[in-house]
Amino acid sequence: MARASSWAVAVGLVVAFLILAFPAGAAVFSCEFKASCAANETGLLRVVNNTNGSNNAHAQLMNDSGTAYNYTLCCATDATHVLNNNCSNANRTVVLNLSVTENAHVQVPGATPAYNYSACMALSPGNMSCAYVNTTCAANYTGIASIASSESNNGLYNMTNAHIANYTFYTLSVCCKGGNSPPPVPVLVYPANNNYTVFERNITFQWQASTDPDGDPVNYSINITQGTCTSYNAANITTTNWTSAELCVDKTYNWTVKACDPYACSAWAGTWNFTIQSVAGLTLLVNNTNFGSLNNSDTRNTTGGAPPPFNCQNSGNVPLNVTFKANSPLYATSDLGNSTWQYKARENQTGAFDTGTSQMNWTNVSASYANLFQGLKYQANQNSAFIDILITVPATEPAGVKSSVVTVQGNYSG
Amino acid sequence: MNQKQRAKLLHSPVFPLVLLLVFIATSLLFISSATAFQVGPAAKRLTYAPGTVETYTLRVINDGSAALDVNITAAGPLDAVVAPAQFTMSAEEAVRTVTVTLREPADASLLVPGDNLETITITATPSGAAGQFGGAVTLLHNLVLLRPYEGAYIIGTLAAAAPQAGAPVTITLSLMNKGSASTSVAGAAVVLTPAGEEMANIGLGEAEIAGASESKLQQSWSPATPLQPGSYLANATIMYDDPAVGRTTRSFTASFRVGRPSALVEVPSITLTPGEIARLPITARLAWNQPIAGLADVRLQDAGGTLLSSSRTPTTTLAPGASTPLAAYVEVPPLEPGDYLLLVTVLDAATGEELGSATAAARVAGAAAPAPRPSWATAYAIAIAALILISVLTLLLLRRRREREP
Repeated sequence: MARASSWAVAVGLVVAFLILAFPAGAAVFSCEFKASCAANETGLLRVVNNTNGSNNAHAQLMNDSGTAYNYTLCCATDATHVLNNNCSNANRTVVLNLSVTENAHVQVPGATPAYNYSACMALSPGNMSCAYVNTTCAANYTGIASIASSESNNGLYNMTNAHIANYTFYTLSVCCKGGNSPPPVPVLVYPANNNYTVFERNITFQWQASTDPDGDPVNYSINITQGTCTSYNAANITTTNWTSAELCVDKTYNWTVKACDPYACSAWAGTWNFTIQSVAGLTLLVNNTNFGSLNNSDTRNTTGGAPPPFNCQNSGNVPLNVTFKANSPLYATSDLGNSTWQYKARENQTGAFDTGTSQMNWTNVSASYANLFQGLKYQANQNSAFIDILITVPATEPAGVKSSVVTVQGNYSG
Repeated sequence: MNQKQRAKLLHSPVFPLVLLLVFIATSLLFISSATAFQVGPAAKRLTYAPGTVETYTLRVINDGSAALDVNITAAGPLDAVVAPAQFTMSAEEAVRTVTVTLREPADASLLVPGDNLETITITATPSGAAGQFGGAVTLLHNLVLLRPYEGAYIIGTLAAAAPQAGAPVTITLSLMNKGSASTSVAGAAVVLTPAGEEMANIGLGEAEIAGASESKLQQSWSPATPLQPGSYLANATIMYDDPAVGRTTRSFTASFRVGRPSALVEVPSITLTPGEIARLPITARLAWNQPIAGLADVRLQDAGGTLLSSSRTPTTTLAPGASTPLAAYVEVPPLEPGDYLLLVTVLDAATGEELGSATAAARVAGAAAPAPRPSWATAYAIAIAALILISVLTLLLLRRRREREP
């Protein structure tokens, strides 16, 4: 049993090492001076010195028409990538500049004054980047050559007018990294995992930015899934948020995001889930109205705004069917259910409810709930409606203050 | 009524009656609550499991500024229990959680096959308000307990959407098996123009749906020619085997929009006259595949953005792809001469959605400048020319008379 555990630990360590050493998307990449390149190798430039060797040498472009030099800096990559030395390739990286096309001194790109000729390398898929360091190359870089000169470039030596040699020969190393490191897995932010009381129907999903290790531009893909309702996926999102179409209520959604650079994507972030809880909500924005002094048989209504109608707003996140009733009669001499007290529905915001099925004409106020608004919307700028009131003072009504209580009832039909 | 008549009335025996009539209904008040509250979830669906006890929470949210007396009752065949059923929420207490407990009967015959509805009524009244002057808002929470039907019984909802013109159309058929038997459901959909012309026939695939459970059929369709902005129709049909009645088909319909309706609005610059009503000719070219009832909202404002006047046109049917005239009339207030701005927004009359907008310059002209006066030199020249003309004519007349005289 102990032996089995040791094996498991060892295998785990090896796997972990491999994962760390070769991150997803990275190409195996190497270069060396050879008399001629193999079929699967690509020449970067040719070199020769005055003793026909490859160190302390002058350089020649691969496409120079003169006699080919003795040594070629041959580069190879793994089976999943392809190398190309064409400087017109959009994805190319300039590895070194040359003073002329043959018998040339070399220069680090960026040194001034810039040489006119370049030795390039492009990797596909992915990209290549090079660093020039006065030490050995970093762990994720491959040393391909070294250069030296006695000329200073902005206080730095070996950067221009240099001879070229094998990687170990001079101090200034030409280090290149083949392949691409994808951006890290995004960190999800909103809606939080296991949030079962999200309110808004159009959710703006948010996550933290992923910074690409190679400095490549990053875009994101989002995947939102639900077993019964419409699932969504979107790609090429260049911001760290995305607003969905209207989602279902009382259904658990899963969501995740991945980050991509132009060559590869991260893994999907761990899936989070959330639920938009259905919420029925009603607010009476104008909650009282006062008809002032009236005489017997006088008729007044709220359609002109004086006095104001009740203003009813759906403050939830689901449509409501709204009914209306009075808790008590208004007059001493006239009960509910006749024309002395009537109500009707009116839009405050256009399209707030279904005018075809709502109570659009004056109807008698009842002691039991009766139709008012059908499908009162919850969307902003479309969720507010008026309840108009019409009263006629009965001819025999005695003097005094008359009041009543009205109740609106909202119901989500599901 | 003169002073003499008024004095007569004051001393009349009917005066107390007149006063009484004036006093009738001195104040007719309707006072409803200042209540604003919410309940979540608005509905709950459970599937019958004999003898089990289901418990879930209901959130009562006070989103207003007043304390609320909350009263909760349950009515229906399920005898749900809500606790607490009565409480007061202060204005500061945003959310109160109550528990709903449902003891499902062991005897299935106590329930009808299908949905059994228990209505939980939540009434909120402003706390401390006198009954006569208080008001209430009531919200219903529907608790539905499904006792599955015998066999398979599929219900569904069809949804179709395309975020913008040229994007794939996603068709989703959400399905629920309200029966107790598992069944395999196959679906297909057609997409139609508003005129009923079939544009595509799309297979939605198959799904195995267990009894009293949910699933969906979802498919994306990328038309060879991108759909133009407009309203379209999707019809879906499913087919499944119900052990009780055999092969069964059901159909569903949904309308959907590709993009959103818009209109190109054009308004000419006009000159306004203070105190008059100006007619503003507006044209709106609708980019949509069917007519929309639209209207224009017109606002006159000064350079500082202050609203000076506003009006709306009557609702007019905007024809697809054509320029439709909308005549607006703007009441021009007494304005100083100068430059003003007209903001015109064309709206979908049914939904209030903005279709398009335009701005135009409006100029209020100053008083008419007097015509330039002729200079003295011009006046002299005119006078001399007139004298010469008169002299010439006089000479001609005299000469002719002399010729006629014998």
